[in-house]
Amino acid sequence: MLPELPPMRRVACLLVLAVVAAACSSKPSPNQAPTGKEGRAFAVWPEDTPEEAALAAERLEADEDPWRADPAATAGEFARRVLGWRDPGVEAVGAGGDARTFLMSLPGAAATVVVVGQLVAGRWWSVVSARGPEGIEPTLSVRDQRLDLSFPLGGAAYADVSVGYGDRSKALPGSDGDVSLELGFRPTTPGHLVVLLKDESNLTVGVIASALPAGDVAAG
Amino acid sequence: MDMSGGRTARATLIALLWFPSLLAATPASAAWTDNNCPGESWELSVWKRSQARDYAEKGDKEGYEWGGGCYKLNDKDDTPLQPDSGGEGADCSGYVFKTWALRNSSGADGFRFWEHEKNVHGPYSTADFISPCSGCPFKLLKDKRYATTTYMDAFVYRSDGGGHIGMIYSEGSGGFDWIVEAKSDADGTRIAWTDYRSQTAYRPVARKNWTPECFPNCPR
Repeated sequence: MLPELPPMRRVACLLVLAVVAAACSSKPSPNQAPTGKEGRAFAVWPEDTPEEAALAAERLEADEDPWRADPAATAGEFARRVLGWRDPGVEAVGAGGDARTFLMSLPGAAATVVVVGQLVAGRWWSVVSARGPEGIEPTLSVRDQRLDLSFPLGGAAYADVSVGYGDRSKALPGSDGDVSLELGFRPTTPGHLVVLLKDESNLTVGVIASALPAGDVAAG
Repeated sequence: MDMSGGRTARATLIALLWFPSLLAATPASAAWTDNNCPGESWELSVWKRSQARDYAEKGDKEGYEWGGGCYKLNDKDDTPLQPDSGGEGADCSGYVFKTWALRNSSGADGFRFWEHEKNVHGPYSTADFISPCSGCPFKLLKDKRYATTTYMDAFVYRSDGGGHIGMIYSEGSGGFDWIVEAKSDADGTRIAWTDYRSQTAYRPVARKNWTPECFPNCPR
């Protein structure tokens, strides 16, 4: 309980306590497996953990990457930088809660749905998921330090797979759709998975991009 | 006016302006599941096929989410056009996990009830259902004849990186059955007249140790 204080001072104390509590509770200790919301899936790109997003907020405050203030521009930058699409079509197709959905298109590639959320300090946007073509569903299992993933190549020639958890990542280029990966660490932070389906000319013709929770997970 | 309180409030404001990362450290909440999934779970000693069928039926017409598991029972998809972004529903294997009242530890026997509003997928993917571990609480059946299967058994397939599982809501004829399943982002959960029994890729899988329907009045 707070001692008797003038109203303004009491409000100020409560504000300070709330801010300190939020700052303290947002970072698990390095060897402690996160629980509850701390370990929930966060985002695919550009940051996949709340801690990285907090650091990004400081850069964004300084007007770096102004496109992150715009959801369509964020989806577009994802298509350009991650999918390698030079001039994709971007069409808004839905909005719900804090999320926005865009349909990205490029000649020769599958129409791709990109969902973005306003995850960074309530101002800047992040990519939460990307899927194309419609209906493509991988099977994923993360148990302890092992990741197993399988997905249909469809008409693609091969796939480039990358998995990351905070500042640790693994890449597996040239996959045939069946991936077994020893991570070399137990995922104690949220992470992300990106599968780029490629044709013979290395064009990205499809994508599976998902945010992953900390710890073990199964899907599909 | 209480000048000392005003000074304290000003100091607090200055502190927040100096340390914007304190505010940014608390990420925004974008996922639908963050605000719509207060469900609980508890151990059960009894779980009958009829109870499971009632449970599955309640999930009909709801959303689909790869790796998800939370339903808001209102006969609609609460997060349409937002694939894989913390939206409503389970995927096919998560729907089976909850309906069969499996426990959230790979290979664990026994029953655990999961409220529809509980966001849990469980440890099994279609890869696990089609190749059950020796101690798993489910098993493959020897064939797909109507005499071998009954309601709340399931059909599962894995092929070319893809997979699916759906449960028999009621047995049909001519290779068809009423199947209850988490179908896809486009279809959500549904009960449909489907020919999985006829498709050679699908294999029959059954939960072990259902409580007999006659319980607690079974003849000795």
